[in-house]
Amino acid sequence: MRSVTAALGCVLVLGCTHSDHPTNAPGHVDPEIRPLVPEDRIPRDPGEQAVVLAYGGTGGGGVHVASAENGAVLAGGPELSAFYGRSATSHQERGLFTTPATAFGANVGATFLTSRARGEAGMPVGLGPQIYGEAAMRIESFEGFGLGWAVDAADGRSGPQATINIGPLMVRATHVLDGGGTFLVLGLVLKGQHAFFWSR
Amino acid sequence: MSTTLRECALLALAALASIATSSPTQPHRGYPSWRVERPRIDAGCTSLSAEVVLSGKEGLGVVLLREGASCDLRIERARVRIGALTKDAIAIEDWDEKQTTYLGFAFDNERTWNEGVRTGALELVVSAEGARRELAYPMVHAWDGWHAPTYEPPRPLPGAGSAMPLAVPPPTESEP
Repeated sequence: MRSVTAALGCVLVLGCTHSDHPTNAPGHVDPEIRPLVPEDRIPRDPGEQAVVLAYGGTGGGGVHVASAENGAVLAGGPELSAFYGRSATSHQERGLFTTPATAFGANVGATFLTSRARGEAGMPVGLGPQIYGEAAMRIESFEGFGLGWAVDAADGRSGPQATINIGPLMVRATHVLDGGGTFLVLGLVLKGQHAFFWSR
Repeated sequence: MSTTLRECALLALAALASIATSSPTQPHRGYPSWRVERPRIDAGCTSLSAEVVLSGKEGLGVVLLREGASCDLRIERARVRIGALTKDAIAIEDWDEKQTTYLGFAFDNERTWNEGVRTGALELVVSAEGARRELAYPMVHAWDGWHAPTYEPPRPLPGAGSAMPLAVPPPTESEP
């Protein structure tokens, strides 16, 4: 029961916060045109830009395709992300979500694995932990993908990794070269974030 | 149900309820705006009020309202002075039927904002009844913050009512 409480506590800690910097704060106006109604006094929204730092973790399960025997795999670990994004509409006008609509950045993390797969001579392979880095893109705040490279910290074998995110769902494929096998994991991503906003 | 299980259930319920709780009123983005600090000045045969009605990255716009008896008051020159910047009005038009006129000033106001310049002045040269006067309206670049409440409608435009709404009360007779 303590572990459940600890897990729920971790989820509560994952907050979404933001701060606003006053750079470029004025809106758009056309001083050549006289306002005719009070609503004309309100500047037009120039949009915004943001740097987002996200922290949290991934967890899930899938298959580990190895040379001798395939097996189920459980995978999870911490992940940090940093993104830069721009939005045509400021977050004050968008309501609940304070994430840029489109953003580019990177993920770094570690994946701890439990696999029943076996490689040559029936030996376990690719047990990690895998340390990875990905170039990543977020689309429409919640969908995104990443492409990068993962290195097995135990034996130094490495290979490409690709991740697709849809909301909190994650599909991640990692192919460890030199006989480490291929991991296909379906899981969840839970992250808190802090976004630094300033105007366009 | 044990106490621990009940506590966990309550914690889970609180966590779920907090996931997507939106604010009761949707705010809007707030913008910095130049404001005239002393909006009404005696111009001789009439008093002349100034109010900033537009303020943004591309410059600002001011509506002047002449009050009291209409006299032959002419604006010969209008400009803003903000830090080292001085900018003349794009055009000076005649008074309309509401006794108002509009002055637009095009300049890089985003730059002045980013440079931290928060004070300036609207400077007018007016002539009335053969006399020439120089009037200076001090201005501040004020900001109430990023979040503007929705329940606050935009202020009416000058000349829409019987008198211009003033940011501060006009100077009284006893003031120097």
